[in-house]
Amino acid sequence: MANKELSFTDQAIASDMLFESKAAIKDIATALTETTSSEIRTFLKKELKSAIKQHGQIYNYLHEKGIYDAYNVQAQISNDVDYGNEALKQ
Amino acid sequence: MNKFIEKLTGMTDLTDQVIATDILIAAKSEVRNYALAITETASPAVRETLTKQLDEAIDFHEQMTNYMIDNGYYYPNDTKKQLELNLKTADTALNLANN
Amino acid sequence: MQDNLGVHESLELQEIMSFKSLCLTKASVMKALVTDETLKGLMEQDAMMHTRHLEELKSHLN
Repeated sequence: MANKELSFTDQAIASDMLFESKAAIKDIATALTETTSSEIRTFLKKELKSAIKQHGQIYNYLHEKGIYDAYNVQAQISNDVDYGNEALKQ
Repeated sequence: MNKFIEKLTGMTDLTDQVIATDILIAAKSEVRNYALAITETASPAVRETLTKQLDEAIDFHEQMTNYMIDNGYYYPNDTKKQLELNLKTADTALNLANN
Repeated sequence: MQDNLGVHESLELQEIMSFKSLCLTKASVMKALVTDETLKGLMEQDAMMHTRHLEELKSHLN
């Protein structure tokens, strides 16, 4: 699945999903620290776990596609600049 | 001397409350810090460690919250009472700083 | 067990470690000021948890 390069739209949607999954983890964790009901706490803990799992999956997907590279900062920056230029052309 | 003892005993009570509150706030920050760190995780081993530790941090936060509620330091279901308590705590802190 | 860590990832771990070190120090020092036994127990539990977590985090970093 790593062979085919992603289209601009696919890349935008995948990146958006990564950001959404990040936001979800942060929001659920914040909500957890404001909870006093054990029922809600159990529910949020389950949600948090699945949000973390989803974040891992999306991150791995983007990593395999070469869109997101946490290990090579230089490559990531040039990638982001390319994407920015592409976005300006739309 | 009487006044001094009064202040001291008054403070012993406060010390527990202050320390418990401090730990609760730290536990809260921890949960958020972990969640934040997990969203920047790339290696599965680190993600696993952080997720496991986050789980424990949440459990500890729960215990601490319950302790605060049981001891009347925290009224999550009664904002009026919580406000009274917060104002009282603020006054005590102001008095302590000004004396 | 030196993991292959990303830059941001490694910095996040370090930040958690320094926060935890602070929590552990406070839990150890302030335990002496506490009068309530339940609270004391919670603080001991807290200190034990931070110690364990710190060791785990350290193993990812060195």
